[in-house]
Amino acid sequence: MIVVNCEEIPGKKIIEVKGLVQGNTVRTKHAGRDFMAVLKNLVGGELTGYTELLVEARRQATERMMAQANELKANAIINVRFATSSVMSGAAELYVYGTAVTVEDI
Amino acid sequence: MFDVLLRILGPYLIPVALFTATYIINYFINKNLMNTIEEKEAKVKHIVFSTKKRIDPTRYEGAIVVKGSAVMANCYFMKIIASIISFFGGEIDLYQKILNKGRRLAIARMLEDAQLHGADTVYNVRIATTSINGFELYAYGTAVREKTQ
Repeated sequence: MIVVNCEEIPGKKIIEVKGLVQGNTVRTKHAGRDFMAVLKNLVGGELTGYTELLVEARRQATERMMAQANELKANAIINVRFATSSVMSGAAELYVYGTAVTVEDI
Repeated sequence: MFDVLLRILGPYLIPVALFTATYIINYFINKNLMNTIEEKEAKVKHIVFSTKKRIDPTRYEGAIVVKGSAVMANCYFMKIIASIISFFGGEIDLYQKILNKGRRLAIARMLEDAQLHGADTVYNVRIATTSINGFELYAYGTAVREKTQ
């Protein structure tokens, strides 16, 4: 499965548009991580725990989107966009969407 | 004399001491962070990235989404300073600096990801921001490599 955030894929030709596919997930870290974040907020710097959480969650959302594209028998997703919103403190919703297409070599 | 002074200033001593201590630690953490960012940027200097959408299909191949993210802390002392500034209005310099740092880190991580895939150009870069107990800066784009003849 080819996933790009451009409108076309170099070296490939789009032959069919299958429609919009999407994936999302809402995730939190355990209380220990949240506590460490509070301590880190005292002095500043990067919150590595949350960076990890978001990377992991985004991968899961992308996998869900790809599973949906597989069901539609598409072999590529173009124009992918990522959106995030915080639903409560320490929890985030990751939302990924794109257009599933069938491509073939030029 | 000292007794009276202590009684008046006593309740404020601990918060002021904590504020100063965190400010000093923050200074060193930021310096360290700057070094890391510059190190990362130096490693991926050869990769060109732009917000251009169209990719020349005859020149490039192997398109893939690359991403990088960084969550920066929203320090308590920054909140205090920001609330003081926002009483009078104006530009909040501290937040601007921390957001720019996070953005540079996110872009550097995205380029590292591109390097891992053997790409030399990143197209259609987008940068998003959210807040979860801090600020999350997220950069993503399409990495491609030049076709070998």
